[in-house]
Parts: sequence; structure tokens; C-alpha cells
Amino acid sequence: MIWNNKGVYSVQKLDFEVKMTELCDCMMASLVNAAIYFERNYEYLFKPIWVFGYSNSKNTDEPFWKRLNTPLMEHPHDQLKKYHGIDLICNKGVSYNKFLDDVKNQIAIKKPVPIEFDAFHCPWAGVYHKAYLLHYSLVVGYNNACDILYCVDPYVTNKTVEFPIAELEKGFHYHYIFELTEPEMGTENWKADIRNLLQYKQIGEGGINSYDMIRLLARDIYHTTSFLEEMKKQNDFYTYELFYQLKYMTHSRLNYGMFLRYIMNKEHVFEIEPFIQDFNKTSALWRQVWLKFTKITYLNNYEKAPTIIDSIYHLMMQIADLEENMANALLIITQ
Amino acid sequence: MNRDTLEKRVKELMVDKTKVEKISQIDNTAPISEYFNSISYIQFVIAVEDEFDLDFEDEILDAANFKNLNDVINILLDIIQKNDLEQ
Repeated sequence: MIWNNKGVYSVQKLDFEVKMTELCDCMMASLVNAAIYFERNYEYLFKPIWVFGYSNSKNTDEPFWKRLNTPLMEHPHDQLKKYHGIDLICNKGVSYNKFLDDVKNQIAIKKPVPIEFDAFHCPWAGVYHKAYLLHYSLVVGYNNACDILYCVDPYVTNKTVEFPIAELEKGFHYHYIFELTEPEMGTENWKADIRNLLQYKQIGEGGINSYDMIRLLARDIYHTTSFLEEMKKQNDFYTYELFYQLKYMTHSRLNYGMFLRYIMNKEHVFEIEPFIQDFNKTSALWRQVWLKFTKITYLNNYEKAPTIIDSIYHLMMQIADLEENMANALLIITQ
Repeated sequence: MNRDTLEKRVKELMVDKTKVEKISQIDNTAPISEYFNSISYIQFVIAVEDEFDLDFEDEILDAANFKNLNDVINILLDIIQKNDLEQ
């Protein structure tokens, strides 16, 4: 790929500092840091993320971790536009050269460029040339003498990283352009915003609410003889989805607490404060689950496994009780 | 085993689980994230457990609990030496 055929080379890089990394997924991590760069709020991005999904299907040979999911009822891009005035214009189907032109133009007006691509071609990702996974990051500059884009990927690293444009082209899906507008909504409907999610969690999936799905997973892990066999098959490539889901659970609770803090400060509803502490607590419990799953995956001595499985079971039961109690109490406050 | 020898062995185990090629390249004051991601850190902890026949408390599993590599190595060495004395 020869990006610049006129012989005019330049290096342009935004003064973009990664401020936050503990965010539930790669898209959220990029968008939160972009919002901070634009000096905008971003907390309504977290409005739909306190979720947990675990399919109850018994008719499948799928391993337990493939039944995990994060069922969002609203798209984060819509939240960012509606509540914080940051719109993302999607450029699906345009040529790669058009994308590169857009990068130059957007960087010239001091805007990063969000990109979706396959992490198989992402040189700084753990799955580079190992696994095909959808990924999201921000282009914050370029060096067209070296055919390199500068990117930030706060889900993976707090550093600015280099992406050879020929490598990105192999896994490129599409890009977005940021448009800054006025927010359409404020926090005035905060009670409904919280209540709608609580009702969505209560409906759950297949007749099982969100909290019972956590209990179901805990019991499946505890009682299924194939669990340990399944974990023994794991490796960096095979388990990526499982670790992604557990990281999501951990950071989403932390981030939902940030959403509540935003509402508390805007609307002066200080009765919400104890819930923020509870979300930090449930995030810490999910983090323990995540680390224990990781430990089982890489154990050499499987004699230790039953103790760890027992601990995961009890942690997940504790999380289910805590989250259900938090939901019931929040429902009363938001009536 | 004295503390220097133990530290050398712990760092050898670290080299096994990271992209670091030699012990001399390890900077004890650097943040843990300079050397490990969450998975390779746990692989390192498991290797230390196996090497010294230990079972660490949950707090050790979380790299976020430590300011830098020095903190981790000191805690691991304290536990290993305490365990040696008890045996």
C-alpha cells in the first residue's frame, strides 16, 4: 500500500491521553476516552450495561462459556449521541483509500477516528495472528512516510501504538466520523432510565431473570462433570471469549456505579450513594471470579481445582444475592 | 535458601512467563503492567506456587493490588521464607 503518492510526507499526532482503562469492552473504552478528549461527559454510555446473560439451552453440546452473553437493550452509540451530543457517523462500504483520506482530514481538525476491524491483524493484541475477533479502537495520528497509523486502544493498553496501514487493511471493517452536537436529553428522567433496565433484567431470557441466570451458571459449574474437562482445553485462543465475558462483568458493574454517581451529582439524589458502594463491591466479587477462572485455566496441578470451583460457586451465589437485593432496593427508590 | 537466591529463582520464573529475555532487564520499580497482562501474571503466580509448593491467598492473584514489581516480589519472598521456616 502506497498511501502518499505525491511525495509529501508528514507525521501528525493528536495530543490524546488515555485516561481510563477499566471499561467493559473495547468500544466503550475507546468512546469514553474520546469523550474525555472532547471534554464531554460519557456516563450515559453505561446506562444499559448492568446485565448478565446465560442461555438455559440444554439441547446443545456447546461449552458453558459459549452460553454466556451480555444482552444490551440499547446501543451505546445511541446513548452517546442522545445524552452527551457525540454522534458517530458510520462509513460502511467506503474504500480503504477513502478511509485514509478521512483519517488525514479528521486528524487535521483534531478529531480521532473510531475503527472496527479484526483483532487477528492487531499487532498489539494478545490474539494477533491467532484468533478472529471484532475489535474497536481510535486512530489518533499517522506517519505517511512509514505508512503507519497511530492508535489508542484503552481496552488493551494505555499507550499509543503503531498500526501498519497494510496490516490494518487486511482486517479492516469500517470507520466512523465524530460529529459534536447538542445533547437531546439530560438526567431528568433518571428514575425511568434505571427502572427500565431493572425491568429488562427481571424479564431476563427463557423465563429466567438475570440473577437466577447467575445462579444457574454457578450450579452448572459446580455440578457439571465436564466443567474441568472443558477448562483443561483452554488456552489463550480458546478462552478469549470466556475471559472477555468475565472482564465485562467486572468492569460493567464498576462503570454502572459511575453512571449512578453521575445521576447523584446532577440530580442531588444522595440516597443513591450506598448503591455506588455496592456496585464497587459486586465488581470486586466478579473480579475474583474472573481471576479464579483464569487460575483454573492455567493450573498444572489439578488437585487444587475442586477448592477453586467451590470458591467460584459461592462467590457467584453471593453476587446473585447482592445484585438481586440491589435491584429490589433500586426499584423502590425509582418508583 | 537465602533471599537473593530466592529472588533470582522467582525472577527466572517471571522470565519464563513474559517477553523479558534476561533477569537483568527486569526493573523492580516498574509497574506490573510493564511486564504482565492479567493472564501472564496469573501464570507466573501459578509457577511460583508450584515451584515452592504453596497455595497463595486470593489477593496475590490480583496484580492490581500491587504498586510495582518490587511489591509483588517482596510479598512472594516473605511468604516463601515463612513457609520454609514453618516446615
